[in-house]
Amino acid sequence: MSGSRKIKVDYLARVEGEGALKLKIKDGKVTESSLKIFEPPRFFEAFLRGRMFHEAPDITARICGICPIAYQMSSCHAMEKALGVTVDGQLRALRRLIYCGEWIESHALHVYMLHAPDFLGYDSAIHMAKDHADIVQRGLSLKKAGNEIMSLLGGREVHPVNVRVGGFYKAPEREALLKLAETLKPARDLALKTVEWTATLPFPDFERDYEFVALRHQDEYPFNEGRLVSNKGLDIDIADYEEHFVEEHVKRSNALHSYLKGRGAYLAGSLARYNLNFEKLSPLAREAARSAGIGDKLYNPFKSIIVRAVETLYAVDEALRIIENYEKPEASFVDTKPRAGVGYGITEAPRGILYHSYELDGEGVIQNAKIVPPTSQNQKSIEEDLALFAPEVVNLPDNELTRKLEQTVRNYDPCISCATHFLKLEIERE
Amino acid sequence: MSEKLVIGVGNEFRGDDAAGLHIARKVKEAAPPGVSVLENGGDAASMIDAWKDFQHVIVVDAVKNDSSPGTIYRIDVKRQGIPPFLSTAPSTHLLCLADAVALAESLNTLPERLIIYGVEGQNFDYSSTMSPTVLRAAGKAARMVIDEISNELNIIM
Repeated sequence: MSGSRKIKVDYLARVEGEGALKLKIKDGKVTESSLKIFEPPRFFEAFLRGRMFHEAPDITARICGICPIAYQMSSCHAMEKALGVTVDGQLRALRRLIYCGEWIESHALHVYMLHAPDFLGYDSAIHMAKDHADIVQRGLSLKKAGNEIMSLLGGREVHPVNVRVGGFYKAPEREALLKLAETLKPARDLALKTVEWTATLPFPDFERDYEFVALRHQDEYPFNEGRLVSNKGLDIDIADYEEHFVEEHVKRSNALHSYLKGRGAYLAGSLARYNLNFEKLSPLAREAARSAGIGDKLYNPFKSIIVRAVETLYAVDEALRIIENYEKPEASFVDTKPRAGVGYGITEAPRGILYHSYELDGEGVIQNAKIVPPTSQNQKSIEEDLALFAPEVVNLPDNELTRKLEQTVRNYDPCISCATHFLKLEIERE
Repeated sequence: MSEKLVIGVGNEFRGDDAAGLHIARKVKEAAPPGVSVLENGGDAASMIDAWKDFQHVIVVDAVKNDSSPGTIYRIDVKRQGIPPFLSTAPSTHLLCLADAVALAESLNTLPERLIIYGVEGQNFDYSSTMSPTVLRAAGKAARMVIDEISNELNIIM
C-alpha cells in the first residue's frame, strides 16, 4: 500500500482512575445520585473478532493487570464449552490453585494498601506505614505469597503465560509445589491475623437488603464452576446469563448499568459469595469468621473488608489442600479441536462474577465476543449505596465527605479503588 | 549471599521504556562478581522485597523529564531523595518508586546504598525497538553501572 495514512482515535479503550459523582440533596435527602466510575472493555470485544479461540486467554488477560487469571479462566471455560471439552482431575485442581494465588494477592493488596487506610484515617498506605509498619509489612508478605503461587503456576507474576485452553502449557512438579507449601504455611497465619485485625476496625452502622449474585457449586467454595444463584430466587445455568441480566445505557450518565431483569441492581463479589456459600468455606475460615463476629449472613458493605480477609484465609487453606493432594498429571492440557459453536464462562474474579461468551466458526475463529466485568455489574449497587449513605455524612466538610464516599465505593474493591483520591464530587444542596 | 543488586525496570514493548531492562541485561552479561541482577515490570512493591537483603542496590529505568533524549541521571537516594520525575507510577494499581522508597523507610528495609540511574527516553509508543540515541545512552549507562558496582567507586555528582 503506497502513501501515508492518518489514523485518528477519538476514544480511549479503557479509562481507569477517575470517578465523577453528582449528588443533589434537598432537606437532607438525596434526590439525585449519578456515578460514573468505570468504562467496560468494549473494544476488546471488537478486536477479538477474527482471532483464534486459543488466543482469547492471552488477549483478554490484558484487560486487567490485577486479575489476569480471572480473564484467562473465564475465557478458557467459555471456549471449552464451545468446543465440547472438559478439564478435570489435577488440571482442574491446578486451575483452582492459580485462582487462589490471584485472590490472595488481590485481596491482600486491597485490604491492607487500599481499604485499611480509609478505616484508620490515613490518606494512603504510605502514610499508614509510618505509624503501622508491622501491619503494612503483613499485607506485603501476604501479597507476596499470592504472587509466588501465580509465578510458579503461571510462569510470570503479571500476565501469566502458562494458561491455555484445555489446561496449562506445563504442569508443575510435585516437589516445586511442596516447596511452595512451606512458604504458604506462615502465610496462613498472616491471613488468620488479618481476619482478627479487620474485625477490630471501626464500622459505620449501615445495612441494605442486597440481592447477592454469585456462583454456587455443590462441593466447593466457587472459583470456576457452578450455577449462577442469588439470595432472592435466582438459580440458573450460566448459559442463561443474558436472558436474566441486561445492560442498559443510563440517561444523564455515560455508564452502562447492569440490571437483573424484573428486579434491578445487584451485588457481586466477596460479600455475595460469602452470603451464598458460607458453609463451603474451610472449617478454619468459618471459625475465623465467627470469631470475628460475622455470621453466615452479612448485609453491611463496610464489613466486606473482613470478608475479603476470610476469603484470603480460605484461599491459603485451599491452596495447601490442593498441593497436599497433587500428583503431576500425564498431560498438561486436554486436546481441543476447533468447531463451530457458542460457549459461556462465568468465573469468580476477586471482585465478582466475570462473564465471557464467544461465538466460533468451524475453523475456531472468533465471530463474536461479549465480556461483562464485575465492576461494571456493581456500578448500580455502588450508586445506590452512595445515595443511601450520603445523607448520614452529608454535613461533614466537603473533603471529609469525599473521603467517606470514596471509602463507600472501595467497599466493592472496584477497578478504581487504587486511585487514592479519585472522586470528583459535585454536590447541589437545596 | 551477594550484597550488590542491580534492578532493571521497564517494559520492552513500549519503545524506550525498555532502557532499564536493556541495561540490566548488559550488566548480567558482564557478570561482575557478587552482583545479582533482576528485571522488574514496574511494581515497586516487589522491589521493596527484593532489595531488603542487599546493601548496595542500583535501580535503572527510563525517565521522562523533558531533557534531551539519552541524558543520563544518577541519583543517590539517601543523600538527594527522589526527584519528582520518578514519582509517577505506571498504573494506579502499582506503587511508584518514590512510594516504594517511603514505604521501605517506614519498614526499615532501605538498603544502605540506593542509587538510581535514569535514561531520558524519546519514544514511549508501542514498539519493541528503542530509538538509536537512547539505545546508545543505555549502553553508556550500563558501562557506568558496571564500573560503579564492580569497583565500589565513590562518585559524587
